[in-house]
Amino acid sequence: MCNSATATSSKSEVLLIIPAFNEEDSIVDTVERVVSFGYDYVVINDGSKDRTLEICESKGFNVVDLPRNLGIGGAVQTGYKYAKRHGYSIAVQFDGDGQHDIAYVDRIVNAVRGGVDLAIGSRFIGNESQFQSTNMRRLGIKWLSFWMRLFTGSRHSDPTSGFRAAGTRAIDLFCGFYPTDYPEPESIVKACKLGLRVVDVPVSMNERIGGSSSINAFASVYYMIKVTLAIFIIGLQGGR
Amino acid sequence: MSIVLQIIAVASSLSFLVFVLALVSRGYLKLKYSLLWIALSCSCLIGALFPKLVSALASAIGFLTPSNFVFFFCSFFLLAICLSISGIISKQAQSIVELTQEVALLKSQIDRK
Repeated sequence: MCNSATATSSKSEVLLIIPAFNEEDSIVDTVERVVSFGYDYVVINDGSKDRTLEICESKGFNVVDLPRNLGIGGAVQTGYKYAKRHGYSIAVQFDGDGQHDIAYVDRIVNAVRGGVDLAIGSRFIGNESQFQSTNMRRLGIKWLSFWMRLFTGSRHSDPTSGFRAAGTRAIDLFCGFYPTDYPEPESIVKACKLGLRVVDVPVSMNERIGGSSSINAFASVYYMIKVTLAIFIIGLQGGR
Repeated sequence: MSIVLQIIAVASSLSFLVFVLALVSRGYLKLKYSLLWIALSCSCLIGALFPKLVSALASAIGFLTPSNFVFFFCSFFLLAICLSISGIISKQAQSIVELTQEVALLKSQIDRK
Protein backbone atom coordinates (compact mmCIF):
# COMPACT_ATOMS: atom_id res chain seq x y z
CA MET A 1 0.00 0.00 0.00
CA CYS A 2 1.43 3.35 -0.93
CA ASN A 3 1.77 6.37 1.29
CA SER A 4 -1.17 8.70 1.81
CA ALA A 5 0.96 11.77 1.01
CA THR A 6 0.09 11.42 -2.67
CA ALA A 7 -3.54 10.88 -1.82
CA THR A 8 -4.22 14.21 -0.18
CA SER A 9 -2.66 16.13 -3.05
CA SER A 10 -5.09 14.84 -5.68
CA LYS A 11 -8.36 14.29 -3.90
CA SER A 12 -10.15 16.18 -6.66
CA GLU A 13 -9.95 13.16 -8.95
CA VAL A 14 -11.94 11.14 -6.43
CA LEU A 15 -15.74 11.19 -6.23
CA LEU A 16 -17.63 9.70 -3.32
CA ILE A 17 -20.98 8.29 -4.39
CA ILE A 18 -23.41 8.40 -1.47
CA PRO A 19 -26.57 6.45 -2.25
CA ALA A 20 -29.42 7.53 0.04
CA PHE A 21 -32.80 5.86 0.42
CA ASN A 22 -34.75 7.17 3.41
CA GLU A 23 -31.61 8.29 5.26
CA GLU A 24 -32.94 11.49 6.86
CA ASP A 25 -31.44 10.48 10.24
CA SER A 26 -27.90 10.04 9.04
CA ILE A 27 -27.37 11.82 5.73
CA VAL A 28 -26.22 15.13 7.24
CA ASP A 29 -23.60 13.46 9.45
CA THR A 30 -22.36 11.37 6.56
CA VAL A 31 -22.03 14.25 4.10
CA GLU A 32 -20.46 16.60 6.64
CA ARG A 33 -17.85 13.98 7.47
CA VAL A 34 -17.11 13.50 3.78
CA VAL A 35 -16.77 17.27 3.30
CA SER A 36 -14.55 17.61 6.36
CA PHE A 37 -12.17 15.10 4.80
CA GLY A 38 -12.06 17.19 1.63
CA TYR A 39 -13.60 14.77 -0.84
CA ASP A 40 -15.90 15.59 -3.74
CA TYR A 41 -19.16 13.75 -3.36
CA VAL A 42 -22.56 13.30 -4.88
CA VAL A 43 -25.61 12.17 -2.95
CA ILE A 44 -27.92 10.00 -5.03
CA ASN A 45 -31.38 10.31 -3.56
CA ASP A 46 -33.07 7.07 -4.60
CA GLY A 47 -36.68 8.23 -4.54
CA SER A 48 -36.72 8.54 -0.75
CA LYS A 49 -40.13 8.75 0.89
CA ASP A 50 -38.85 10.73 3.88
CA ARG A 51 -37.23 14.18 4.05
CA THR A 52 -33.82 13.11 2.68
CA LEU A 53 -34.12 15.30 -0.42
CA GLU A 54 -35.40 18.39 1.42
CA ILE A 55 -32.61 18.09 3.99
CA CYS A 56 -29.98 17.78 1.26
CA GLU A 57 -31.34 20.76 -0.65
CA SER A 58 -31.68 22.99 2.38
CA LYS A 59 -28.10 22.19 3.36
CA GLY A 60 -26.94 22.88 -0.19
CA PHE A 61 -25.54 19.38 -0.66
CA ASN A 62 -24.64 18.20 -4.15
CA VAL A 63 -27.57 15.89 -4.77
CA VAL A 64 -28.83 13.97 -7.79
CA ASP A 65 -32.49 13.17 -7.30
CA LEU A 66 -33.88 10.03 -8.92
CA PRO A 67 -37.59 10.70 -9.53
CA ARG A 68 -38.39 7.02 -8.83
CA ASN A 69 -36.82 4.45 -6.54
CA LEU A 70 -34.45 2.29 -8.60
CA GLY A 71 -32.88 0.17 -5.87
CA ILE A 72 -29.32 0.40 -4.63
CA GLY A 73 -27.73 -0.74 -7.89
CA GLY A 74 -29.62 1.76 -10.02
CA ALA A 75 -28.70 4.54 -7.59
CA VAL A 76 -25.01 3.65 -7.45
CA GLN A 77 -24.87 3.30 -11.23
CA THR A 78 -26.20 6.85 -11.47
CA GLY A 79 -23.19 7.86 -9.40
CA TYR A 80 -20.81 6.07 -11.75
CA LYS A 81 -22.40 7.86 -14.70
CA TYR A 82 -22.02 11.15 -12.84
CA ALA A 83 -18.36 10.35 -12.15
CA LYS A 84 -17.71 9.54 -15.81
CA ARG A 85 -19.42 12.68 -17.11
CA HIS A 86 -17.57 14.91 -14.69
CA GLY A 87 -14.23 13.35 -15.46
CA TYR A 88 -13.45 11.68 -12.14
CA SER A 89 -10.93 8.88 -12.42
CA ILE A 90 -11.84 7.15 -9.15
CA ALA A 91 -15.35 6.63 -7.79
CA VAL A 92 -15.95 5.38 -4.27
CA GLN A 93 -19.27 4.02 -3.11
CA PHE A 94 -19.84 5.31 0.38
CA ASP A 95 -23.12 4.43 2.09
CA GLY A 96 -25.23 7.17 3.60
CA ASP A 97 -26.28 5.13 6.64
CA GLY A 98 -23.02 5.48 8.58
CA GLN A 99 -21.81 1.91 8.03
CA HIS A 100 -18.70 2.96 6.18
CA ASP A 101 -15.80 4.71 7.85
CA ILE A 102 -14.46 7.74 6.00
CA ALA A 103 -11.00 7.16 7.44
CA TYR A 104 -10.61 4.10 5.22
CA VAL A 105 -11.46 5.83 1.95
CA ASP A 106 -7.81 6.76 1.43
CA ARG A 107 -6.82 3.17 1.81
CA ILE A 108 -9.13 1.77 -0.88
CA VAL A 109 -8.47 4.75 -3.15
CA ASN A 110 -4.74 4.15 -2.87
CA ALA A 111 -5.24 0.56 -3.94
CA VAL A 112 -6.84 1.86 -7.14
CA ARG A 113 -4.05 4.39 -7.60
CA GLY A 114 -1.65 1.48 -7.25
CA GLY A 115 -3.04 0.00 -10.46
CA VAL A 116 -6.05 -2.04 -9.32
CA ASP A 117 -9.35 -1.54 -11.17
CA LEU A 118 -11.69 -2.30 -8.29
CA ALA A 119 -10.82 -2.26 -4.59
CA ILE A 120 -13.35 -3.84 -2.21
CA GLY A 121 -13.33 -2.77 1.43
CA SER A 122 -13.47 -6.03 3.38
CA ARG A 123 -14.49 -6.54 7.01
CA PHE A 124 -13.08 -10.03 7.08
CA ILE A 125 -9.39 -9.54 6.41
CA GLY A 126 -7.02 -7.88 8.81
CA ASN A 127 -8.16 -7.05 12.31
CA GLU A 128 -9.72 -3.68 11.56
CA SER A 129 -13.38 -4.38 11.98
CA GLN A 130 -15.20 -4.94 15.25
CA PHE A 131 -18.53 -5.23 13.49
CA GLN A 132 -18.65 -8.37 11.38
CA SER A 133 -22.37 -8.95 11.04
CA THR A 134 -24.37 -11.91 12.36
CA ASN A 135 -23.44 -15.59 12.06
CA MET A 136 -26.23 -16.24 9.60
CA ARG A 137 -25.02 -13.48 7.31
CA ARG A 138 -21.43 -14.62 7.59
CA LEU A 139 -22.54 -18.08 6.51
CA GLY A 140 -24.29 -16.55 3.49
CA ILE A 141 -21.17 -14.56 2.70
CA LYS A 142 -19.03 -17.72 2.90
CA TRP A 143 -21.43 -19.44 0.50
CA LEU A 144 -21.19 -16.60 -2.01
CA SER A 145 -17.41 -16.39 -1.63
CA PHE A 146 -17.15 -20.08 -2.39
CA TRP A 147 -19.03 -19.85 -5.69
CA MET A 148 -17.27 -16.66 -6.67
CA ARG A 149 -13.92 -18.30 -6.09
CA LEU A 150 -15.00 -21.23 -8.24
CA PHE A 151 -15.99 -19.01 -11.14
CA THR A 152 -13.39 -16.27 -10.91
CA GLY A 153 -10.46 -18.19 -9.49
CA SER A 154 -9.80 -15.45 -6.98
CA ARG A 155 -10.71 -15.03 -3.34
CA HIS A 156 -13.20 -12.34 -2.38
CA SER A 157 -13.60 -12.25 1.37
CA ASP A 158 -16.45 -9.73 1.58
CA PRO A 159 -18.51 -10.05 -1.60
CA THR A 160 -21.51 -8.08 -0.29
CA SER A 161 -19.44 -5.09 0.77
CA GLY A 162 -20.73 -1.84 -0.70
CA PHE A 163 -17.58 0.01 0.34
CA ARG A 164 -15.55 -0.01 -2.86
CA ALA A 165 -13.40 2.16 -5.08
CA ALA A 166 -13.55 1.91 -8.85
CA GLY A 167 -10.94 3.11 -11.31
CA THR A 168 -11.74 4.31 -14.83
CA ARG A 169 -12.04 0.82 -16.32
CA ALA A 170 -14.46 -0.27 -13.60
CA ILE A 171 -16.40 3.01 -13.89
CA ASP A 172 -16.79 2.42 -17.63
CA LEU A 173 -17.94 -1.14 -17.01
CA PHE A 174 -20.43 -0.17 -14.30
CA CYS A 175 -21.91 2.64 -16.42
CA GLY A 176 -22.96 -0.04 -18.90
CA PHE A 177 -23.60 -2.95 -16.54
CA TYR A 178 -24.77 -2.77 -12.97
CA PRO A 179 -27.60 -4.90 -11.57
CA THR A 180 -30.38 -2.83 -10.00
CA ASP A 181 -30.87 -4.96 -6.90
CA TYR A 182 -28.19 -6.67 -4.81
CA PRO A 183 -25.44 -5.66 -7.26
CA GLU A 184 -22.28 -6.22 -5.23
CA PRO A 185 -21.30 -9.89 -5.72
CA GLU A 186 -22.55 -9.92 -9.30
CA SER A 187 -20.53 -6.88 -10.30
CA ILE A 188 -17.35 -8.36 -8.82
CA VAL A 189 -17.77 -11.54 -10.87
CA LYS A 190 -18.46 -9.50 -14.00
CA ALA A 191 -15.38 -7.35 -13.43
CA CYS A 192 -13.19 -10.43 -12.91
CA LYS A 193 -14.58 -12.09 -16.02
CA LEU A 194 -13.67 -9.04 -18.10
CA GLY A 195 -10.13 -9.18 -16.81
CA LEU A 196 -10.31 -6.25 -14.40
CA ARG A 197 -8.08 -6.46 -11.37
CA VAL A 198 -10.13 -6.74 -8.19
CA VAL A 199 -8.57 -6.79 -4.71
CA ASP A 200 -9.77 -6.81 -1.12
CA VAL A 201 -8.59 -4.11 1.25
CA PRO A 202 -9.08 -4.44 5.01
CA VAL A 203 -11.47 -1.85 6.43
CA SER A 204 -13.58 -1.35 9.51
CA MET A 205 -17.34 -1.04 9.31
CA ASN A 206 -19.83 0.26 11.82
CA GLU A 207 -23.34 -0.77 12.59
CA ARG A 208 -25.75 1.47 10.76
CA ILE A 209 -26.89 4.69 12.42
CA GLY A 210 -30.31 4.97 10.83
CA GLY A 211 -32.43 3.34 8.17
CA SER A 212 -32.54 -0.41 7.72
CA SER A 213 -30.46 -2.88 5.74
CA SER A 214 -31.61 -3.56 2.22
CA ILE A 215 -31.64 -7.23 3.21
CA ASN A 216 -34.23 -8.15 5.86
CA ALA A 217 -34.91 -11.66 7.13
CA PHE A 218 -37.79 -12.27 4.77
CA ALA A 219 -35.88 -11.24 1.68
CA SER A 220 -32.71 -13.14 2.53
CA VAL A 221 -33.78 -16.39 0.89
CA TYR A 222 -34.69 -14.53 -2.28
CA TYR A 223 -31.42 -12.66 -2.00
CA MET A 224 -29.32 -15.83 -1.78
CA ILE A 225 -31.10 -17.54 -4.66
CA LYS A 226 -31.00 -14.50 -6.89
CA VAL A 227 -27.36 -13.68 -6.26
CA THR A 228 -26.18 -17.29 -6.50
CA LEU A 229 -27.98 -17.66 -9.80
CA ALA A 230 -26.49 -14.39 -11.04
CA ILE A 231 -22.99 -15.59 -10.13
CA PHE A 232 -23.64 -18.82 -12.05
CA ILE A 233 -24.93 -17.07 -15.14
CA ILE A 234 -22.19 -14.45 -15.30
CA GLY A 235 -19.59 -16.99 -14.23
CA LEU A 236 -20.45 -19.23 -17.16
CA GLN A 237 -20.48 -16.38 -19.67
CA GLY A 238 -16.73 -16.26 -20.07
CA GLY A 239 -14.89 -13.07 -20.79
CA ARG A 240 -16.28 -10.70 -23.33
CA MET B 1 -66.86 -33.45 -33.90
CA SER B 2 -70.53 -32.43 -33.88
CA ILE B 3 -71.59 -29.61 -36.18
CA VAL B 4 -72.77 -27.51 -33.22
CA LEU B 5 -69.39 -27.82 -31.54
CA GLN B 6 -67.66 -26.95 -34.79
CA ILE B 7 -69.79 -23.83 -35.25
CA ILE B 8 -68.99 -22.74 -31.70
CA ALA B 9 -65.29 -23.39 -32.24
CA VAL B 10 -65.17 -21.49 -35.53
CA ALA B 11 -67.20 -18.58 -34.16
CA SER B 12 -65.12 -18.20 -31.00
CA SER B 13 -61.73 -18.44 -32.70
CA LEU B 14 -62.88 -16.10 -35.46
CA SER B 15 -64.20 -13.53 -32.97
CA PHE B 16 -60.99 -13.77 -30.97
CA LEU B 17 -58.97 -13.06 -34.12
CA VAL B 18 -61.21 -10.12 -35.02
CA PHE B 19 -60.96 -8.84 -31.43
CA VAL B 20 -57.14 -8.92 -31.54
CA LEU B 21 -57.07 -7.17 -34.91
CA ALA B 22 -59.54 -4.54 -33.63
CA LEU B 23 -57.29 -3.87 -30.63
CA VAL B 24 -54.36 -3.38 -32.99
CA SER B 25 -56.24 -1.05 -35.33
CA ARG B 26 -57.43 1.08 -32.42
CA GLY B 27 -53.93 1.33 -31.06
CA TYR B 28 -54.56 -0.59 -27.80
CA LEU B 29 -52.14 -3.28 -28.89
CA LYS B 30 -48.93 -2.82 -30.85
CA LEU B 31 -48.82 -5.03 -33.95
CA LYS B 32 -45.33 -6.13 -32.90
CA TYR B 33 -46.67 -7.59 -29.65
CA SER B 34 -49.85 -9.03 -31.15
CA LEU B 35 -48.19 -11.32 -33.68
CA LEU B 36 -48.13 -14.33 -31.34
CA TRP B 37 -51.79 -13.79 -30.43
CA ILE B 38 -52.71 -13.53 -34.13
CA ALA B 39 -50.78 -16.71 -34.87
CA LEU B 40 -52.54 -18.51 -32.01
CA SER B 41 -56.02 -17.43 -33.09
CA CYS B 42 -55.30 -18.27 -36.74
CA SER B 43 -54.22 -21.79 -35.84
CA CYS B 44 -57.32 -22.19 -33.65
CA LEU B 45 -59.45 -21.07 -36.58
CA ILE B 46 -57.78 -23.50 -38.97
CA GLY B 47 -58.22 -26.31 -36.44
CA ALA B 48 -61.90 -25.45 -36.01
CA LEU B 49 -62.51 -25.31 -39.76
CA PHE B 50 -60.65 -28.57 -40.50
CA PRO B 51 -60.91 -30.85 -37.46
CA LYS B 52 -59.72 -33.79 -39.57
CA LEU B 53 -56.42 -32.01 -40.01
CA VAL B 54 -56.03 -31.81 -36.22
CA SER B 55 -56.81 -35.51 -35.77
CA ALA B 56 -54.42 -36.50 -38.52
CA LEU B 57 -51.66 -34.33 -37.13
CA ALA B 58 -52.27 -35.63 -33.60
CA SER B 59 -52.06 -39.30 -34.54
CA ALA B 60 -49.07 -38.65 -36.81
CA ILE B 61 -47.13 -37.21 -33.90
CA GLY B 62 -48.36 -39.95 -31.58
CA PHE B 63 -50.97 -38.29 -29.34
CA LEU B 64 -53.66 -40.76 -28.26
CA THR B 65 -56.49 -38.27 -28.62
CA PRO B 66 -56.73 -35.02 -30.62
CA SER B 67 -57.84 -33.14 -27.48
CA ASN B 68 -54.51 -33.92 -25.81
CA PHE B 69 -52.76 -32.55 -28.83
CA VAL B 70 -54.85 -29.37 -28.73
CA PHE B 71 -54.19 -28.87 -25.01
CA PHE B 72 -50.48 -29.40 -25.48
CA PHE B 73 -50.35 -27.10 -28.46
CA CYS B 74 -52.27 -24.31 -26.69
CA SER B 75 -50.31 -24.45 -23.44
CA PHE B 76 -47.06 -24.41 -25.38
CA PHE B 77 -48.24 -21.35 -27.28
CA LEU B 78 -49.31 -19.59 -24.08
CA LEU B 79 -45.93 -20.35 -22.51
CA ALA B 80 -44.24 -18.77 -25.51
CA ILE B 81 -46.45 -15.70 -25.19
CA CYS B 82 -45.72 -15.40 -21.44
CA LEU B 83 -42.00 -15.68 -22.01
CA SER B 84 -42.10 -13.03 -24.71
CA ILE B 85 -44.00 -10.76 -22.32
CA SER B 86 -41.33 -11.26 -19.63
CA GLY B 87 -38.74 -10.35 -22.23
CA ILE B 88 -40.62 -7.19 -23.15
CA ILE B 89 -40.99 -6.24 -19.47
CA SER B 90 -37.27 -6.74 -18.88
CA LYS B 91 -36.39 -4.49 -21.77
CA GLN B 92 -38.78 -1.84 -20.57
CA ALA B 93 -37.51 -2.07 -17.00
CA GLN B 94 -34.00 -1.45 -18.31
CA SER B 95 -35.20 1.53 -20.35
CA ILE B 96 -37.00 2.98 -17.34
CA VAL B 97 -33.86 2.68 -15.21
CA GLU B 98 -31.77 4.44 -17.84
CA LEU B 99 -34.37 7.16 -18.40
CA THR B 100 -34.75 7.77 -14.67
CA GLN B 101 -30.98 8.09 -14.28
CA GLU B 102 -30.81 10.44 -17.25
CA VAL B 103 -33.60 12.65 -15.89
CA ALA B 104 -31.89 12.81 -12.50
CA LEU B 105 -28.50 13.69 -14.01
CA LEU B 106 -29.99 16.36 -16.30
CA LYS B 107 -32.01 17.81 -13.41
CA SER B 108 -28.85 18.17 -11.33
CA GLN B 109 -27.11 19.89 -14.24
CA ILE B 110 -29.95 22.39 -14.65
CA ASP B 111 -30.01 23.16 -10.93
CA ARG B 112 -26.33 23.94 -10.98
CA LYS B 113 -26.68 26.61 -13.71
